[in-house]
Amino acid sequence: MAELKLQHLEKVYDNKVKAVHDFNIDIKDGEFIVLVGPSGCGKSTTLRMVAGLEDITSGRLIIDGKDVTRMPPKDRDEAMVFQNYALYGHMTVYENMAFSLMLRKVDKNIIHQKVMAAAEILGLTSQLNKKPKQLSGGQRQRVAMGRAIVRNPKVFLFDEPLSNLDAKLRGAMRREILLLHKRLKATIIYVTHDQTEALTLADRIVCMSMGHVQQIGTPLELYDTPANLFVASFIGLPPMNLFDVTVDGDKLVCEDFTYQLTGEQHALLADYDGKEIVLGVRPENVVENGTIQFNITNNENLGQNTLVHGHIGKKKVVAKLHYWATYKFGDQINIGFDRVHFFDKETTNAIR
Amino acid sequence: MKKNTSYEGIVLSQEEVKAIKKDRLRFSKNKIPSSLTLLAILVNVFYFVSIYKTNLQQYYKPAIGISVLYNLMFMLFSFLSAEGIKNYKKTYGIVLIVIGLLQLLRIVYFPLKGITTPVSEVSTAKVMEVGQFIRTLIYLIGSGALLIVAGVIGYIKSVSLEKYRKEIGEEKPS
Repeated sequence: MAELKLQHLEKVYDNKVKAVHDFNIDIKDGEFIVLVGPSGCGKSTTLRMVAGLEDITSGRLIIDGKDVTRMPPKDRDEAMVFQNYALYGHMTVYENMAFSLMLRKVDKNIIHQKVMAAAEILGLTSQLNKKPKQLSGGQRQRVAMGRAIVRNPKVFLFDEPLSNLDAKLRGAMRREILLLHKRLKATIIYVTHDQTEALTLADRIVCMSMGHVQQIGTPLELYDTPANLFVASFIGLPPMNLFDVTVDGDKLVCEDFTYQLTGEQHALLADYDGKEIVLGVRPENVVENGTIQFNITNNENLGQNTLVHGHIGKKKVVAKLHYWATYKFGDQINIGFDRVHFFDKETTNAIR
Repeated sequence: MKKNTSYEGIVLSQEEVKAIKKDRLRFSKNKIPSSLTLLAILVNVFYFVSIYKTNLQQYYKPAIGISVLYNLMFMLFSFLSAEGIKNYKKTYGIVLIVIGLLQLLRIVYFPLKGITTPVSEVSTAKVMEVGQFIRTLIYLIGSGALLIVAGVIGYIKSVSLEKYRKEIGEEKPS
């Protein structure tokens, strides 16, 4: 396994489009890093630069102390798992898994031992003689992972590996990947646009937007203390409710409600008195006691939770209640917020 | 390029290699006998091309139809057996041995008769020249030997795999 250093990585395409801006991260041995962000944010480009499938325009990539920036992919000792599996249709599962080692002219008996061990880990032993077309999506993805495992690479790279699977299978595969990581203790860089995958799998998440790193931190850090408005609205499902408010002494004032600050919050916002800021409230921090009038439009009952959609004035708001609520269109309730976040309106950074 | 007999510090003992070799049969095709069979078909093609390009009408007329038919059947059965033995079906090993023996048996009928039968009652020239006789002889012996070897190897490997499958309690794949 390996330690990686990505230092000031940048990618500029021939048409002058800058896909990745000054990407920096030190990845520890055995760490599970998830790059998350919306489509086009540069996460896959970053992964492909690490894999060697894209040239690095500037910056350095160091694996285990060795600069591999200009090294061809085959010499980097990395294995990549793709979204579309990239399996050879005419080969059996066994042959697919053995192929990379066969190309390296490794002894067939050793290849066999490694393939069988990987198949055992992934529960593919009974599928080894089948062709990929005879397998389900989840099994195919496991074969793709198996192909990576047999190589025992320094780094595993996953490019949205679960995107082609249905929701149920995605959940199962997520747990398998997590177990695999615990078992192999491998260094993994995983790209996804699915925040659930990011939050459940990662040791650390790199949240990206428009080619820029927005925040690097543990899942809890990103959820609990988002660095800016982008992270606040991207991480969390449903996303955070955001209100433009003005700081007025120990109150936050907006068109439709007033929020009373605590002493600590008042001190935090002392420099912003009279200025506009953004108030962020996660749906799960909306509580059913307070003074803010909430006009309900509809309910989404999810079993143990209910998402209640509605308006505070003209502003759309979502509340997540931890029981089976039965509100109807037109119902009005008074709500409050038990936890809030503040963001500078100009810089969009969190106020801490 | 030389094969890496050790990889990432993995060194296998003789016992391990022996066990793995057996286990590997479950996931690899029986390619050697299959390839030998295809080669035998090719050699047989040389045989009948070699024999049909000669003017053999006088001698060969009555049997030529049967000969063409036999070659077609030979190719069909050999090809089917090549596919069968590739998948470790031991019956095809026996079929290959039988077809191989029949190839050797064909020598007695033709080209042997070709080299011993005169073109006509008044001529001493034989239906087949010595050079052509030797060539056809080599082709028949070659294809026959290849088929017998393929059949034997295929049969042994198929039986060995069947035994191993029984040992580990694995069902025979359909």
